[in-house]
Amino acid sequence: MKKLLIAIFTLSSSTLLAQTKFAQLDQLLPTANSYRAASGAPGHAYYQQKADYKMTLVLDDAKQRLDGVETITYTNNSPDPLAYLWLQLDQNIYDQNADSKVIEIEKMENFKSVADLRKRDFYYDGGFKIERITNMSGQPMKYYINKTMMRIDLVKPLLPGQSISFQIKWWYNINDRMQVGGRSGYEYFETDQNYLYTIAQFFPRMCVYNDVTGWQNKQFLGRGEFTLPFGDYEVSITVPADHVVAATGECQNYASVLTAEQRKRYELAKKSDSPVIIVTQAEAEAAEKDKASKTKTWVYKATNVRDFAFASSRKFIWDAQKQTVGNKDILCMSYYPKEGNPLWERYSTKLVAHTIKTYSKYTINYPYPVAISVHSKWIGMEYPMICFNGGRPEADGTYTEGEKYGMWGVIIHEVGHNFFPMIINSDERQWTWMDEGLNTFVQYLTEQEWERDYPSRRGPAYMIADYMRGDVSGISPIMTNSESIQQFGNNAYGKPATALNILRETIMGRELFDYAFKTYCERWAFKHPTPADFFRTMEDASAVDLDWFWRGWFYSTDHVDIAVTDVKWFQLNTQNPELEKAFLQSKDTQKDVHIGVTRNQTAIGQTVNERDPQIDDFYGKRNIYAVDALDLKTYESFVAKTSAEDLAFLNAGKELYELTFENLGGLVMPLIIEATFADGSKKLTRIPAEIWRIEELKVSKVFVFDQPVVSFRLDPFLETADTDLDNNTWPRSLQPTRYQLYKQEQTRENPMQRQQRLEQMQRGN
Amino acid sequence: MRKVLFLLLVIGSSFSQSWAHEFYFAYAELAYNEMNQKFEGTLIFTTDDLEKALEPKGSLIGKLEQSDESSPIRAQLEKYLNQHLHISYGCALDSNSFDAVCQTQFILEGISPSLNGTIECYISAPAKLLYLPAYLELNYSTILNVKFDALFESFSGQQNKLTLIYRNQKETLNFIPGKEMQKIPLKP
Repeated sequence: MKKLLIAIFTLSSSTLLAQTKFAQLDQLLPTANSYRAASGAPGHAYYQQKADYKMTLVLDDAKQRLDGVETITYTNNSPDPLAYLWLQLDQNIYDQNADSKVIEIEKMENFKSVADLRKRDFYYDGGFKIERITNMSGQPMKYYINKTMMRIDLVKPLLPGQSISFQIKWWYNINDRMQVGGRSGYEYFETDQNYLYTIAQFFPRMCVYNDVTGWQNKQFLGRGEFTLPFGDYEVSITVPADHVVAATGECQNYASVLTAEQRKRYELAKKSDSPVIIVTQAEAEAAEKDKASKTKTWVYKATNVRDFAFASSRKFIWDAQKQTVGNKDILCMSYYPKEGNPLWERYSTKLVAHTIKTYSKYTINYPYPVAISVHSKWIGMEYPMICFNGGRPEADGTYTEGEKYGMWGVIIHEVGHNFFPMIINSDERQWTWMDEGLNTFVQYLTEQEWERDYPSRRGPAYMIADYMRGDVSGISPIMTNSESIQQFGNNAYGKPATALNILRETIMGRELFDYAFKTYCERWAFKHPTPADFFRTMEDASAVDLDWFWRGWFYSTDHVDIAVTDVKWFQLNTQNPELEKAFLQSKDTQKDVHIGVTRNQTAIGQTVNERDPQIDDFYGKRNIYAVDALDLKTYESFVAKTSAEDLAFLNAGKELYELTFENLGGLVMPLIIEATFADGSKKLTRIPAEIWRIEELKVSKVFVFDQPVVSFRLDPFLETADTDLDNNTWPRSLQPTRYQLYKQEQTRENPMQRQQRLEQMQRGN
Repeated sequence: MRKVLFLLLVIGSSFSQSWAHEFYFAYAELAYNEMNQKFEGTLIFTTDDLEKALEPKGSLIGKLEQSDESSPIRAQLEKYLNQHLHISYGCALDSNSFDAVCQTQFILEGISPSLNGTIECYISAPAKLLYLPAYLELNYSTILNVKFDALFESFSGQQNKLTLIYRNQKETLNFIPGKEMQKIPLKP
């Protein structure tokens, strides 16, 4: 009885083990319903709310303060009555008592200087000052502010299908971005005493209410970004008369804010395939000196966007060009101070155009009329149609090659965010990877189309190996809430981008992947997708079961380390005595011979049996390699019983190899095996990851070739993120370390030394 | 009193700002070369982060990408690496048995900045007296104590990984703030 019990227990345990990596995700994903279908598409009852804004803004350049009056019209498309509304007050992250400061883990060693301590306790009177909230009759509405969230209590519930309008009057002091940091704020230029404002998260914004989270009102702690409903915006921005404004949407009154000459240039840019300067550096430098005291109002409209941001400065140079996407011309624009040149004038707008064109190919056609890149030192941050990007040359106008690639990368990345999450509008507060990871993946594709062999930092599988290998105590699964992620960049940007690249290049192939990925983008454009919608769509549109892949790459911290641990070599016995005995004789003659035997050949002149013929009996005289009639008869009998096809196969000289693979890292992946033959030719075999579906730790596979193999190599094209390449080869060959490669190349002069030598030569030294 | 002095000494340091790249990750690959009796290896950083950590008292001393062997920033880098990566190990000073604790002193042999924003630093440290396990033994003398806390002082989210290669042994360990030291037993 005891044995029986143990047997049953063992059986069920091993069954569970066998199911671990290939178990379907059913228990992990939410049950499909009428709002979100099992296919990954929006369900027949899918809904989303709408929030329309009309805003009047005044930027006070003397006090660095922004005042606003906004009217929000909120439409409840949900089936639920809403007793209250939640709004986001992101500026409250600059409140002295904000949670974001309090929850930061600190050690004394983090403060190397008094300046660090001063920065920690730097005080400015930040946060929203809400002056009033009223209904459209001017009656005050009841509200409660909980840190970065504000609840407005309704007199009666907002019923399904109903809309409500209300007005909020507010102001806040704009943060000095160079002192306190932040995604937006101002930069002060001491040399000409001017400001450059990049303004975002600047107005009370509606939270998302949907079928997944109800109200998404998790506090803004600084890392998990924004979750916003779509709506239409009408915004008027009053700024100093010599400021140039860039904003989400289309300007409605260029006639009253630009000179006739600038309007002419603007019209030219709309038709141009290369950048046209609309506000020149000379005009910007003149404005820097004059400092207008009057104001002008710029009016913008934007349709079906989830947010609104703008930039304003008298320092702005402005250029633009068109980019055709589908049958629409998009106006690509850049705004930058002279400090951004020469990099910005040369590259920014061209990068914007290239980005929207390339992303449109892989996702959906860029739907908005404009795409804007604004130069903002140090940061990269995205909003609908507009983004703020770093990449500043030295004061003397020189820059390193690294700086140039840094600028290129950040512009492609931030413009790319128009697609993720501005259009394919995932919940950033919950899942950073859904926008950053997907965006970083398409960024990689876009970089590679900008310049051949572009030195992308993320994308190719091998680049994530250092992060994933070994001790995983500091690593979180990708499926971790935005605020709790360890190693934010590698986790939410690098690893998901790599995972998608592996799906595209190795697991699914480009055609299947591109179709499925585009399907996801088309299904969820201007909607709120969740991870389950992405996972399900990728399978639904491709007929590839990817549950094992999502489970390993997105839900676990396992890494890829698959080793070739054993190789056995076999040849078929033809049963033909003439062949087999000859083969045996040849093998025996090739055997290693002990040195004593070799020396005895000459040292012993004659042995006894060589002298005396009576010594050798039957055994001593027989030739074991000789083929006799009995051998031939036996073979004839074998031939008679064997089909012609089998005989042909037996006589084809096939070489058989049994390879054993061990999964040391835990993450199952396809086996990509390259065999190299004596003549230098190679043969590649790809085995899907399902080979691990029953035995997850150790599998074997037999390979049949027409000639002997000299070596085997696993993952020869570095496509699985294998973290240890030393155990991927047979016979074992250790890969050189980076240090060894450096030492091998050390004799070569670096480009800088070469340049110096060239200059010396040209000087005649 | 000591604390007050410390603060006075460092007045004037600049505010540290950085690109919001969120990649606070450094990686080291160190091998013990038995032929040369040296630890040899490569450290990989985000160039921007490393340059900011090297800023002495607020003034930039140059870009690593533009530096050569004689640039002051190289000496600064070597000093910084030795402050933030060291290995202490059992050594044999005047016999073939363990009789002291020695510590690495790395020499910066070269650097190689990549256009993707990372930089490789090549280092080596003589360790002639390293007491190596000759047979199956596991005790204090055969354990390497590794400290790798580069950039921890600059970025609270910094995480470092180090892979040690010794004969057929290859181990990767994680270093995070609060876990700056790790022990690696050498296997015979």
